[in-house]
Amino acid sequence: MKDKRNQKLVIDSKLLEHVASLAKITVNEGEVKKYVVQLEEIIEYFRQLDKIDTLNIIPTYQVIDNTTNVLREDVIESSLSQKEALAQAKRTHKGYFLVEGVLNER
Amino acid sequence: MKDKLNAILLEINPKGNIGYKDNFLTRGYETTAGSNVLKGYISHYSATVVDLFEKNGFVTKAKFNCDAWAHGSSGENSDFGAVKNPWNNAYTPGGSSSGSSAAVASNYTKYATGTDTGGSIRLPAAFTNSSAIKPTYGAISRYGIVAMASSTDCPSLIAQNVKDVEVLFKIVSREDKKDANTFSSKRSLRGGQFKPGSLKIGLPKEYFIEGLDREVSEAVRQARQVLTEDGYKIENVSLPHTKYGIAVYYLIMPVEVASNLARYDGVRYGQARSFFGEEAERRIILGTFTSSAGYSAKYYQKAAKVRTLIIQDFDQVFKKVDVLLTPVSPTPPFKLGEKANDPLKMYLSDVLTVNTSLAGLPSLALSCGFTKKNLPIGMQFVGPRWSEPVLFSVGKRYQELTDWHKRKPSI
Repeated sequence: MKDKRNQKLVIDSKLLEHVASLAKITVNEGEVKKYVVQLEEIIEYFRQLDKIDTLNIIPTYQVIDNTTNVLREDVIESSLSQKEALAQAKRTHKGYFLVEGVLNER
Repeated sequence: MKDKLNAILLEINPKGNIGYKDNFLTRGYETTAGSNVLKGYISHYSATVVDLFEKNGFVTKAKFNCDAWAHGSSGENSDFGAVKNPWNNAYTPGGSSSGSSAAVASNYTKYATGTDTGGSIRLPAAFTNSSAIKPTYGAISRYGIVAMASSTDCPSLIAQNVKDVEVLFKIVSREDKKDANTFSSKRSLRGGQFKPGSLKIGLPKEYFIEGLDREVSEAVRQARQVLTEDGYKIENVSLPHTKYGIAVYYLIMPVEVASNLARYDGVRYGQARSFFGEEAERRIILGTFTSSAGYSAKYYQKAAKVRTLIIQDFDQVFKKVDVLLTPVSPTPPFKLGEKANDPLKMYLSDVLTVNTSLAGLPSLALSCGFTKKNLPIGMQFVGPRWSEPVLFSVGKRYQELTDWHKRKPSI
């Protein structure tokens, strides 16, 4: 058995900041500190699964009974109007959603 | 508006008779899911559940507070403040459907909806002396409900007794073109008359082990006695992978949460991602990490395999018994603030409810007694998929034989 104190931590602040940025979550210094400790504890708890033999076990990602497609008749139904679809947006322009620029250089 | 329990986020019609957890869209009214990200968001359509209730003569009374994005076991993750338990204001009414349970228990409304992804209607029912069904996965449409973890999300129903819960269930349990998962080749609900003598109830030993509060254990034992004397056959059974449920659930759910919450960008509606609260951030970061390249096999996929083993346990047990009886929570209601700063401790509150969610099984939660401090204690009947009629029959029979559900908090 490995001594718990010698086990390398799974998450450090650098990795946490990287993961947060992938998920477009901005974290400040205090949050990084706090989350690293909390997530490390949670991930440590997950370790109990390591000892279960799952070699020939098929993973389960959903629990519905049928896995065939459900299709509907190809008929036109009412949907949101353009006005309704845009109504909740903070910024619109000529009937479009306005977003931050994605490309910086021309 | 602010009520004494902080259960109500929006009152729509004081003369109405049903309230919705605030993650159900209600056309023309605000839906926040308990989060500042959606504050001010007004939807242009209603959830299928809301439409069905309105078509059947129900009138919407209010929208209820909840943990933001339905993340939580205590209601304390709401960006609009915690909900208080009507039985004792220092305690949580359970989460994440915290406002729904407090409103039903305090008789603000007789009927309410909630959602249950890992226990979020059952814990609130147990903590407030209410009755609730977390249905078979796919029994009730998720359309128009803010998604949390799509493989276990179940719109759920809460009321003051099992009879009322069944009435609600019969109205909204149906196929919906807008949620393909409501279509099932095995959809027909189990039929027939369920006489006590013809039903076998299993007690899974893993649900009655160390850590289970003495008063909870004693209350469920007495319920078992009541059912035995009425003719139900009781059998001890085993679900050996029970103890891995929390680890599996808290690996799978955050991955689905991270995916579902990716849509909130503040462009089409709502605020920017910087408005997410701590618990949502924690789950998004955790789920992104455990499903990322290099870690997915070790965490997410491993959990999905153990999920298979948990489901196989239930399949085996339901060859022997019709229904399982277990406590809902290992403890009676806990105090507001008691677990708020310790996420793992909070997650462990769900230890007796997550496995049924992972397996997509229906579970009926109802009260079975009170602690010496006069706080409610809850139990759950769990059955195979589509066995709701069996659960309702046992639940209604139990409430004919006992009076716990008739007790009301003094407000």
